[in-house]
Amino acid sequence: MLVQTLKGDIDHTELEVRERVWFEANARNIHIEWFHNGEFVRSDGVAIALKTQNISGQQQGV
Amino acid sequence: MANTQAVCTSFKVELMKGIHALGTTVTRGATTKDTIKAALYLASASRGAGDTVYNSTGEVSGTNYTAGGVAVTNATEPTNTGTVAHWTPSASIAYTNVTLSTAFDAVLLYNSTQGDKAVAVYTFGSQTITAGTFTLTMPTNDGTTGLLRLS
Repeated sequence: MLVQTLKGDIDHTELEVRERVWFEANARNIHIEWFHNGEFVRSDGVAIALKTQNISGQQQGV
Repeated sequence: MANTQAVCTSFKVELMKGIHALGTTVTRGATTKDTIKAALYLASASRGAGDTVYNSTGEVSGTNYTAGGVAVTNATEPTNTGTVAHWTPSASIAYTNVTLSTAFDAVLLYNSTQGDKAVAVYTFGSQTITAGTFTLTMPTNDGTTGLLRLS
């Protein structure tokens, strides 16, 4: 599988992947960095389960 | 039997569907769903509850990112779980093959059909993307975690 990178399309078997994962109150974030021959060539990011927020609908105000 | 004070659950769902108008409103040209878009903002921006319309101030910029962001996939009608009305985009929001070199940590959902009026701001971990894809994975669409909830 070819992966688009700053150096053009590179087969994924030639890429080293480093992953960072961090958590917030309601979000899990993953950041993946791709290296080719030790050189950074791409990063991807994912934010899972976004913080959610209520939009007020107070029943006491009826 | 006893009466119980409450905002009717059906009303909350119908608010999301644009059925009720307690104030003056627009003349809707069609019965189709509005288009909701998602724009990304720099960690240094000041988006929040005070926003009324989409604003390009503080929006990210970079390769393959178009100002205003991307359209949100909306195949699931607003519904309710118990007394909580909720709506969640039916697919992840993805920005494909972008380079966003300045740290960003927020997305604004807004209604591009109705004058770009703001819907909600959500934050996540500050990050940058280089020649890659940034994906916002949607939460489970229920009364506890749904992205937009009226409770």
